[in-house]
Amino acid sequence: MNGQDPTAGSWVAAAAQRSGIAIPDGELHRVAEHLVLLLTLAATVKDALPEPAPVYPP
Amino acid sequence: MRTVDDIAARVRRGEVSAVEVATTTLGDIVDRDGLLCSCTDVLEERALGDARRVDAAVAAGEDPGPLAGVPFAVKNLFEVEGIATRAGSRIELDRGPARVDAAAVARLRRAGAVLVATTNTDEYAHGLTTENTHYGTTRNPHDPERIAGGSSGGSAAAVAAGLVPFTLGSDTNGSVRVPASLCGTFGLKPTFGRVSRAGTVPFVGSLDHVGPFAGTAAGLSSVYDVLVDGGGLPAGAQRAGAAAPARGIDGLRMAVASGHFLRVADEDARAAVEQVAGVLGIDRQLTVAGSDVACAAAHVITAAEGAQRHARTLRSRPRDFDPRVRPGLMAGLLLPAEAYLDARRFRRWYREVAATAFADVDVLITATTPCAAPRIGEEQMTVAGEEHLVGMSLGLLTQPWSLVGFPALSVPARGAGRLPLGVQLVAAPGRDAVLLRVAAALEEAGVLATTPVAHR
Repeated sequence: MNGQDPTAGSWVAAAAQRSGIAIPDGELHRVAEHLVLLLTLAATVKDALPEPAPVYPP
Repeated sequence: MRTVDDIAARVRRGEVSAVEVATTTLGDIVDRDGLLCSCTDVLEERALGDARRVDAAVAAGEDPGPLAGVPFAVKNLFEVEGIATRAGSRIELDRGPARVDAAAVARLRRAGAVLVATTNTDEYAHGLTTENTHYGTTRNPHDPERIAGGSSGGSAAAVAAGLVPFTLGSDTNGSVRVPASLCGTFGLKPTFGRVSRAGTVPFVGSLDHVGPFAGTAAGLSSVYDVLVDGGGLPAGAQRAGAAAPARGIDGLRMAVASGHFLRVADEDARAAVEQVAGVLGIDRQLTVAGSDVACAAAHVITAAEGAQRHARTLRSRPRDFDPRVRPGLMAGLLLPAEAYLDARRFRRWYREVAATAFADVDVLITATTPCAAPRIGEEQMTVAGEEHLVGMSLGLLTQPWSLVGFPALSVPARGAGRLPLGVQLVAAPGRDAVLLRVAAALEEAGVLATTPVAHR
């Protein structure tokens, strides 16, 4: 998925609409690019997380 | 423009009046800031009124304060009584004039400092370039075709151009240290929570810090003392910053941060680190694991918290946002909660890793930015052979430390070319004064480039 991908654009447009966000004309690709980048960074963070503690720390 | 301590000493001794200093400074801003675009409001009436009060105190034999008559400016997200707080946005102007000064501004005023202007920023501090569609792009005094860095770019450029001897900014992912590096000034991000944020417009609640810029290490220390002295010190006690030069750096354990911090620095930035390390006698490297991922976590937390802060106005008046900032904020609103929670969990882990590293050293040094100032309008930059987005990458060396709230100070090293480059000094939480000591030692050693630029 990337900002130029119409599928990604459609997904972002639908998500934005459900969230009550009106993306100005011509900015859908830029919002999608930002979101893809953030999701990529989030995946990097998830991969680096240590195993969760089995119980609350003291 | 003279230094913080020189001006205060001369005003306190009655050798020059605070009104004379303020008048000269205000004239300088009007005459010289046109191209730079570092200032957004010039506060002539307030400045002259405050200066008269300082002069009256001197004439009456009263203590005018440690910063008597020293002119300064603040990023336009600090509330200033009587003027609307822009925060780089058009939307904020609707709130009307602020009723009181931000806590840090009030503290400086009580110490005798004279506020003369507010300074430019990316909208809502959301950026590292100070390219603002509403209020213009702040230019780098060393080369007006290049950015000043951001988001406190106006504050850095005003000091670098010699318009004022010190300023205040805010730092969320590097917004004090990055422009300090690109403009060649000192810039301090104190320990998280050490300096009050009361009366500033928030960007990211869990990452925002308030910090000063100055043209000298001594000036930075004097300002820091006023910002943090909550009256808890006994009368006559030597303050942390003022004590810095005298205490020197003997006995401090220092290392160059390796791994991520060398990997994303270009040749000039690494050379600046080597030069400073040589002067400090550092012959050791230390890796803090996870620092690259810390940048990713900082981006995710910034996007999520920053977007939530503006959720209502993004829905009700999206077209009033700066189009440079709006897509990123809207993307943040669509980010899954899982991403944010993971990033916060990572931050807890990384804080422990960083704290463990500092059990073994007092100060780590890194480059402050991966490279010197990019050209205005550039969206990509090359660092160590790889293409990076300018807006995402200027903070790669500063983000890990704001993520965990550790104090960090950028000193103006001599870059290989004509553009300045900062070297970042980092310490464990609460050890801000150690950084001021090292900065003072470097300034005394004459290895830093601190001359203001006479740009017109």
